[in-house]
Amino acid sequence: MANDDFRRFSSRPEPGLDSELYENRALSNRGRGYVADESLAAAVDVAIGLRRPLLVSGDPGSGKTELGYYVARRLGLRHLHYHVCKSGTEAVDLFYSYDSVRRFRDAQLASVQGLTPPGDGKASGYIRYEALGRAILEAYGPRTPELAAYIGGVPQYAGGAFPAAACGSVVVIDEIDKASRDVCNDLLRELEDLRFTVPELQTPELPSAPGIAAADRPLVVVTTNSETQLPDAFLRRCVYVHIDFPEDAEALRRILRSKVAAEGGRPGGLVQDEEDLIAFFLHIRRSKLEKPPGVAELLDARRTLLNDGTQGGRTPLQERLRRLGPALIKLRIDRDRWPSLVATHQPGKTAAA
Amino acid sequence: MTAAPEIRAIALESLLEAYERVRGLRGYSGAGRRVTIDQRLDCGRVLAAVRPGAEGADKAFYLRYLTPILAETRQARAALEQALDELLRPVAKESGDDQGKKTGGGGSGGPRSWREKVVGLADGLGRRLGVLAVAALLVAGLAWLGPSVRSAFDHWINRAPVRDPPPAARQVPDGADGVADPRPAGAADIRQRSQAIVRHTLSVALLATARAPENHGRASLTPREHAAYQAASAPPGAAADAGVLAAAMAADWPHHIDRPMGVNAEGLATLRRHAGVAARVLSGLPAMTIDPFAVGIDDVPLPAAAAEALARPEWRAAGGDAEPLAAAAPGGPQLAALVLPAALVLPAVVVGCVFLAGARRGRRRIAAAFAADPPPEVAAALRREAEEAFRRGAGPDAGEPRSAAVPFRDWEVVVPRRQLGPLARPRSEPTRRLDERRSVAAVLASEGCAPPLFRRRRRLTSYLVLVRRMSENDHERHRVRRFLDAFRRVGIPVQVYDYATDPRRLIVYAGRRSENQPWNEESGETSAETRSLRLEDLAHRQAAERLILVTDGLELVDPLRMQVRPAMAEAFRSWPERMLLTPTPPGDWGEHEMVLARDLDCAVGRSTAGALDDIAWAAWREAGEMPHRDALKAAAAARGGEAADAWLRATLGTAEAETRLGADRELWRGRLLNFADPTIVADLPPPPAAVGELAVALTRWLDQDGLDWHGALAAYPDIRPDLTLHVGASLRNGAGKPLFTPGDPAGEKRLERLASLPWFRAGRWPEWLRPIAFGALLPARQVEARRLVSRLFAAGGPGAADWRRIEAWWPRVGALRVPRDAVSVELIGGQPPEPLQRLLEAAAAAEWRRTALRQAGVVAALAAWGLAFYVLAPGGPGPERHAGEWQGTLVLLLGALVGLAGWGLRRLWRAATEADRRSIGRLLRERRTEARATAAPDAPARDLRK
Repeated sequence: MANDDFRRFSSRPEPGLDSELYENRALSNRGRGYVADESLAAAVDVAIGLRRPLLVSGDPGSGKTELGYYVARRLGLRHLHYHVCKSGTEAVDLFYSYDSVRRFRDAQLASVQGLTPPGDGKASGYIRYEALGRAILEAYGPRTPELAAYIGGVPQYAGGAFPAAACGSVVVIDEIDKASRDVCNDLLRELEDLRFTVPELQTPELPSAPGIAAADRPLVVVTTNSETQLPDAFLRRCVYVHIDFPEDAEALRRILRSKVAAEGGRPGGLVQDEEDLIAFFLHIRRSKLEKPPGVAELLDARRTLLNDGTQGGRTPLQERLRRLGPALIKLRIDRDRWPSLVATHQPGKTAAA
Repeated sequence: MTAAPEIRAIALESLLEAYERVRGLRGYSGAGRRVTIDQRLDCGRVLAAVRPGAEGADKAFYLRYLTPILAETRQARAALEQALDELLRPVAKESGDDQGKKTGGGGSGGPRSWREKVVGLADGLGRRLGVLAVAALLVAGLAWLGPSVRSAFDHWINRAPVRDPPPAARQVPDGADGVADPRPAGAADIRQRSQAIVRHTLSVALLATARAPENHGRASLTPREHAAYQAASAPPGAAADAGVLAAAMAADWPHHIDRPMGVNAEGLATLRRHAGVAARVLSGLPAMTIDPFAVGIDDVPLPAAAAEALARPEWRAAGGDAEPLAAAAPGGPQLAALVLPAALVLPAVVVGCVFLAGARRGRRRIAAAFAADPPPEVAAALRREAEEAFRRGAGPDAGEPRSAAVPFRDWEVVVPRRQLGPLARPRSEPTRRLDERRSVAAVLASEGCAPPLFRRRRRLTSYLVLVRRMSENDHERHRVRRFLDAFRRVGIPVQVYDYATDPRRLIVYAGRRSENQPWNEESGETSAETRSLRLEDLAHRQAAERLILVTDGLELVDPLRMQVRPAMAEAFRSWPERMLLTPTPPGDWGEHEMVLARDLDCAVGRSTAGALDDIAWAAWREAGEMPHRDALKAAAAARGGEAADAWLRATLGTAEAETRLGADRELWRGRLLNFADPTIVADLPPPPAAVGELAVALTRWLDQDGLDWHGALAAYPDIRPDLTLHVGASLRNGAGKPLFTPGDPAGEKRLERLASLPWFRAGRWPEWLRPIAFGALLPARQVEARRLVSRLFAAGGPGAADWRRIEAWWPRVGALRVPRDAVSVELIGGQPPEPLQRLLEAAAAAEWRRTALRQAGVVAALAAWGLAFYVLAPGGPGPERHAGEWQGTLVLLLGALVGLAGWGLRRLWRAATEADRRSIGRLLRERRTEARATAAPDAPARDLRK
């Protein structure tokens, strides 16, 4: 565990616009223009240095998932494996899925029709590796014969060729609090050792390679909305970071500037509409809504404001801001307050404050 | 020039220790409070890798790098922040720059703070001296200005009711015809006689003045010459000594005895006053009957030559005209007499106010210094004083609120793991994974036409518990949450939410309310910022969990229809597995509980320690086998009013219930100890008969130790869970055992019974009940209870991080006379509790007000005494004085002597009774000397880095 690992993230420059990132083997545009403060960078450094999963909490829309993409870009990694948890998610779903029904059906059809089932009916033909499983396999790389054979027999490997050499990646396990508590408890050892087994293959624990190089070790980013309490044992094995919403206008300007640049927009400052939007947005945030809007809502509102076809026209600002309601307000109780919020907004005052 | 960043490393072990302690204070219990070995190692690795000492480690640095390892929630991050504050606070105090900015002085923090205190005390001393000086100044001013004031008002005081004398009086000839008339006379006679003599003396004065240019070569007379003329023209038999007259004139009016009186209005007024003095002395009439201004100049019989002389231009220029002179006579000097005291007294008052303001600032400085670094001697002195007052029996609610603290302990409930085992038993549920063996077997069994069978898995049982919170200090809620902690410790997932009146709106403790307000997520023991959570939101994501509702159901049942409100019943239907635990003992169960079981379609159990058995009994068997439904069927089969009895028989009368409930089956609390009766927690006392009945019910519900515990808690006006546990653990019964020990079944049972009492759920004593409860204790137990509460103030300094702050009402009369209800409203309104700084400032301000009032009283008394002395003292030297004239003066002097003697005796008494109490000033001086002697000038900064 080298001390340099604790600076690996923060010592890297901001990712350029030309950086490539593949999410589940598909080119992704996410993670550009993300603004990470010092505490976020330190948390990522600590997670890398301690080789532990990074548990990210925060309000919806605060950029938890986006952080994973940003980390991958800044670390110069080309692969990101994404998995979103659902209420029925089991721990094994993060590693692989086994289409037993299809195998069962194939076996039945083959016996009836007298044909040979695909892949000679081996179990490996019905296994598809999922986000965490793929990341672990890629980190080991096809260095050992058994691993190569293992992987070679898995045709559904994420729809793409297995990398020729070991490579690092970022795994985003999104909204783990939506899954049952058993998922967290079942992941404890696997996350710690980055090893897992596939009982259907009836082989020893996979892989049996001696270890993973530090640079190739996947960084696991787990996000939670804190809707349910995660098990203590799981929490103790993670590195935590909470993303607070930036409550000052300058931070919001930085985010918008970064987003504009990442989308290939104009460099430099913001247009007046964006400044007005920030002022209005902060006004809303300070109005103690039941569900205050987050960064995601801010970006949506910006798109709405800039593309409503009235900029430069004579439509009053208040009227244009009123149209942002669907992008910013999510609850009915807040919708009732929306007209008064727009009416009480004094343009140019909140942002300056 | 900006200050260099603080470069300092702290010991990791110290930090982790402080962090664990703060986590404990914030409600993390047991293993949740402790930092694991892995976390310790991780922290060490991170700090070793980022080398804090090399790049400057401030609070932000540690927060940045240790939060990801140690703080799993925002609340834990706040705990880490607090721990860092505690460790870094002494470092900040040693920083000379900061301290210098705060106090405006130089040097190091310690000696300067003592100097501040000494300066403050000197200010206080100076203030006292200043007040006394102002008082002396006032008295002296009054004594000096007295004659002037008296003269100025003489014409008003001695004014005759009839301004113009009757014609007969005007024709009174010169001479002493009316002077020595010995006949007793009425008021009119006296007035006529006084006017006659005044007219005579005035004519002498004016005549002598008119002839002054001839006789003395000056325009006017001196008072001594005037006295000689008056003595010479005195009627026979009158005490006509020129020296006596001159002295009386000088005493009456401040004009030099040998300086000529001016040829102006002032001179004329002086002449008239001196003529009045001469009239008084020569006639022997009382001073109040002589008014020299009551006689007009025109009424004075003068020879023509003299009148012509007085009509000279210089007299006219000065207003010598008879009528103008008469009108102007009381003007100048009298105005001066009015203005002069104001001109002297007002500056004195202003100086006094400035002095007092300075003293107040000094007191504030003392308060600030005490708040930053309370000297132990001062705290001890205050404590002794408070204890003494408390021992005397002053009611705590009669005084001011002060901060005190309850020692923090882990009040963990120890529950045998085997009891919790059945509750954690995993449940079986289907998965999406094919069970190959069973599927193949099924295919073979059905000759190739069987559907695939899926595996089942065992899922961990988790609980969602909703607890009714009747108040912030609801003991029942606190006890239940503490009980549920035992679930967590054995790994049973439990998520607990509170609700106030409507279970569909749950309370979520969102964070700390302020820096001074501890935050406690799990138990919510103190007011914290909360937000509400809708039950239906929980239903969407946690419907698979077992729902336990902990309430007596008062808020659920419509008492008129005797059914659960439909909306409430509907709200819980999302949870197929649900149960209700009630604090009502089984002996009190009846129709209310039957309605709850029927309309919520759930089992009803106890919320006490027996809850484990009841939850295991409910056990959520397969659908249709719910145990509570048998009893409901029995109730449904019964007729009308017998339904409740049938339900009770089916619920409590079975052999299984007898085994499960044991002695609890017969336990009943009674009607009076029920929260449903609002009068029981009101401040208005119930009828005496009901009070007696309540006492009987309490004696039956609580055993002797429980009554002792109950009564001892009445020493403090609020009922707080942490205080309850602390008092219970501190008091011992006759066998020498604590009344409460965590995990001890007897103690836990006592706590259960206490917690279910209505006022323990309301979190405050009814005013009428508190003295009754406390008075029921033996005297020795009362003293013990009071001491126990008093001691809480001893160790609750601001630096004591491992103490939980509480509010208390201190019997010392003075600062912050806030009615108890007002404090309650303040707390309900979300205000933080009183920090020591505010209390000290308020105490200092109140002390200042009290002292200022006392000193003002002293000043007023002295002034009154001086005024009375002036008024009652004889008017001037006279050849003969009646003994009665000195009577008032003697009484005054005697009163002053008695007062002085009483004051001296009081001082002696206090000195004798408080000989062992050293003054704060002396203590401070000793402390300063000691600090100087022992302080090392260049003490090395603590290197806490490990």
